Amino acid sequence: MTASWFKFASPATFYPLAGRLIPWFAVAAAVLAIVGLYIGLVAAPTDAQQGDAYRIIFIHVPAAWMSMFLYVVMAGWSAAALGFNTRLSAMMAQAIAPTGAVMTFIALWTGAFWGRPTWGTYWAWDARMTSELILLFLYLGVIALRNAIDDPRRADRACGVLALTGVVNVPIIYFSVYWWNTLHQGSSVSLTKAPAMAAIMLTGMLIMSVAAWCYAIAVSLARVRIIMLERERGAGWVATLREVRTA
Amino acid sequence: MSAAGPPALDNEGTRPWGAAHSAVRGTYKQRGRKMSSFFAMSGYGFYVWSAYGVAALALAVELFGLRSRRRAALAEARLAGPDAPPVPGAAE
Repeated sequence: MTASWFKFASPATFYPLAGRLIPWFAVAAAVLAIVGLYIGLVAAPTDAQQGDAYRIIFIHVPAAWMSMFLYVVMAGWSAAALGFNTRLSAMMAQAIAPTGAVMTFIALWTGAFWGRPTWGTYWAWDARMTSELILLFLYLGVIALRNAIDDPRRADRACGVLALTGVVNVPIIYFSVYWWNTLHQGSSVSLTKAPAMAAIMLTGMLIMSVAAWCYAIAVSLARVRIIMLERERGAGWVATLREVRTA
Repeated sequence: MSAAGPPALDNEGTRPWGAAHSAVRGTYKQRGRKMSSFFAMSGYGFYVWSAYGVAALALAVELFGLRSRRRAALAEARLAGPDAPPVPGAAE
């Protein structure tokens, strides 16, 4: 482990780096979302069985993927924070939680409005939906625990332990459709077999997924910069920032 | 809606919306399409637009909240200044 490895682990060096990265990811997210929405809402044909109700897939699946992936990333930063005691790692974990909660909410909400016309119900207590709801509560729990503890370093440790404990829920969500007899269908797209959907639908869904990635990266970086300002105000490097010096 | 056979080719919006018919080209107007058929989503408009609308709203709320939080954090940082006591746990 060389010194350069930890160079950007310092908020003072990461803050300007994040600031330079945000516009690229934000623009990429916007452009990809426009292309993905055009494919999903206009170019892709109506489904023979579901009619146009299936078009919810273009936001439901990317949001659901991101909700699980962001939790793993958050838990990874939490583990790094607990292991290396680096401030930036804990701040990254803190920055990801709200975006993860938003993605989980979107996955649940769009799933309800897809389930009603196709299954006849907005909600069922099946394993996939219940474990995804637990994921939302885990995100909200991490955020609430953070707000309940005044000392940021103590909050880092408590939230880190909670985030790491909850990570066991992610494989439960992913494999729930195989382990239990769920109302929710199995995955149409997986790493092990050919996708069970038309090429243009798959293209639209993957473009929307990359857009969700770029959105989550841009928003998390923007939030981690704010967290740095909140937690390190009074530190020399914050006082010298142009946006702090000029009102 | 016919589940089997070729898609219907009338002009009332029953044809798959935006389906890639290589033989049919031109603007939506030339093809007899109505914008209303796009919003109708073959009868699933309420579900599709409830899903898309609330998802967009959720992102808008997140982005708006981020902007106000940034403004508040910058205002606090200006107040704190270099001589203020550091926040607990912050860098020296």
